[in-house]
Amino acid sequence: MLVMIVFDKVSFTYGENLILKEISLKISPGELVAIVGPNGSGKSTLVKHINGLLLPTDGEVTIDGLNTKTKEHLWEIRSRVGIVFQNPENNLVASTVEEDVAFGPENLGYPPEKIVASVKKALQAVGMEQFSKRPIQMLSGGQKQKVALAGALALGSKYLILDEATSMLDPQGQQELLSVILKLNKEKLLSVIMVTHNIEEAALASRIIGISEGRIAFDGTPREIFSNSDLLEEIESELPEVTKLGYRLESRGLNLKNPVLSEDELVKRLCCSI
Amino acid sequence: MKALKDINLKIYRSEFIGVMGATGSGKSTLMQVLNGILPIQEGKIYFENQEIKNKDLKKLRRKIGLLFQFSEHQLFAETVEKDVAFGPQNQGIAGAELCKLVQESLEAVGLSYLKYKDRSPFSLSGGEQRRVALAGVLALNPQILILDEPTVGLDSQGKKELLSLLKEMHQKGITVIMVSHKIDELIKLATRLLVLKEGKIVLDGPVAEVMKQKESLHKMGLELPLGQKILKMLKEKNENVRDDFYLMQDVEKEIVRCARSGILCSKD
Repeated sequence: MLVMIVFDKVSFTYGENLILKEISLKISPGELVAIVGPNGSGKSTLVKHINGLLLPTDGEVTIDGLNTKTKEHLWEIRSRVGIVFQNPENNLVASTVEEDVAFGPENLGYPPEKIVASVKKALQAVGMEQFSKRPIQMLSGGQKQKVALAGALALGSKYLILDEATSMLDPQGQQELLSVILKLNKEKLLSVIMVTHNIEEAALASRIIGISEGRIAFDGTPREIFSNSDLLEEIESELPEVTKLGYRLESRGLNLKNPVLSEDELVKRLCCSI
Repeated sequence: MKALKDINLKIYRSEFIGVMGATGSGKSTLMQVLNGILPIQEGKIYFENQEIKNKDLKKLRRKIGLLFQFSEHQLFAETVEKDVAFGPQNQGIAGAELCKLVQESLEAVGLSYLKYKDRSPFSLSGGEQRRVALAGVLALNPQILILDEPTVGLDSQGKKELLSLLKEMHQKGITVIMVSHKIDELIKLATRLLVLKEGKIVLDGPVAEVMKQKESLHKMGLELPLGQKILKMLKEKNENVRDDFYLMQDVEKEIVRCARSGILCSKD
């Protein structure tokens, strides 16, 4: 069986508008993919195809070989593919943390012992076990997003979609959520697909896919994309600030082996640049 | 719980004030007090040397425009024109005067009146929506503009456009007060920085003065500007690096100076 996410010539029309245009794409287990692009380019539409929230007008989406167009597969697909939305207020349904995380497994009719165990495990994975009895409204935005993430884990999700999930959080909340996601990706082989406007965040991914007007404009590692001279002119103003700084220093005569992707990397290279 | 404690603050005409502080430090509360949405429980507020009593807060709201966080969520009308006209209409403005006001406000935020007036606000991009919300605030002709995290959630193009718009407005003489978590945005635009902690103003002064307090900023969990962070990291390797620069052009000069003089490599 094919273990991955596959888009095969996917098009999607909404009313008269062609939002996605023959997108073909494979995402393998363990990847951490950032999807970037301007507002209205089709990013969110694309990721909503992964768990069957939207179905292709043309073409096929398969998750581990299961076609999203086959109704009988939809529940299985949705338990494999978790999604965390932008607004923390829209992700949670129950009144306490553990009730919220238990909501999915209960609906799937798990036996009580299995529910308790999966809720506990999921809350541990996101570092929220000490908050299990806490009312949802007492949580910060970052904590709410981690609870939403635990809800997906409790269903046994292997793939996680983050639809601008950090964009409404303060810097501390962003950091909290991202570090949990990076850890889960690294340790547990949770594949992550994150839609983001924050290029600093995208630089943490193993792969960046750029969407423009419903098509894939570029697809590669951050290092490849941030150093592709054909692309650079177009996306130069969008580069992470630290990457831009690296290029400016290079134009002032410092040899940095650009692109640099992080502050640590810049400092390291500066310390042996001559 | 007291959200604000013994705040003493004078704001002068044509300032651009950047407001920082950790989550829960009282920034948004202070902004809502300044704009007259929240009545105060103790103390006094003066506007142009006149005391504003809690029952007169409406006066304050007319002079001081507030753009909330995620202000596009407040758009509601079926067209951009109707949405921007809503505020002034409620103040009794109508006819040609209203039309002119809407037109000017939209042009002020960089949206062509003719192109946008009949469009649904909900068909616009996030950056455009936020600018429509800002136009709605400007249509009330505020003398002071307060913005609470205006760039959060915008794409990089939207961010850039909004920030240069704010710069332009300040240059035209509008007093601007802007809350942001992004210190790199504030140091480029503000003339004065306020830092709140647990409901109190703990730092207040010209940007250069506040930026000298980098240890206390760091202790409060606030991020340093990117360039200064890099200098600080370099200084940890060699103490001859100066880390008191925060503007990018100064930071670059300092890095180039250090690299050329070889002090970055001495330990390796």
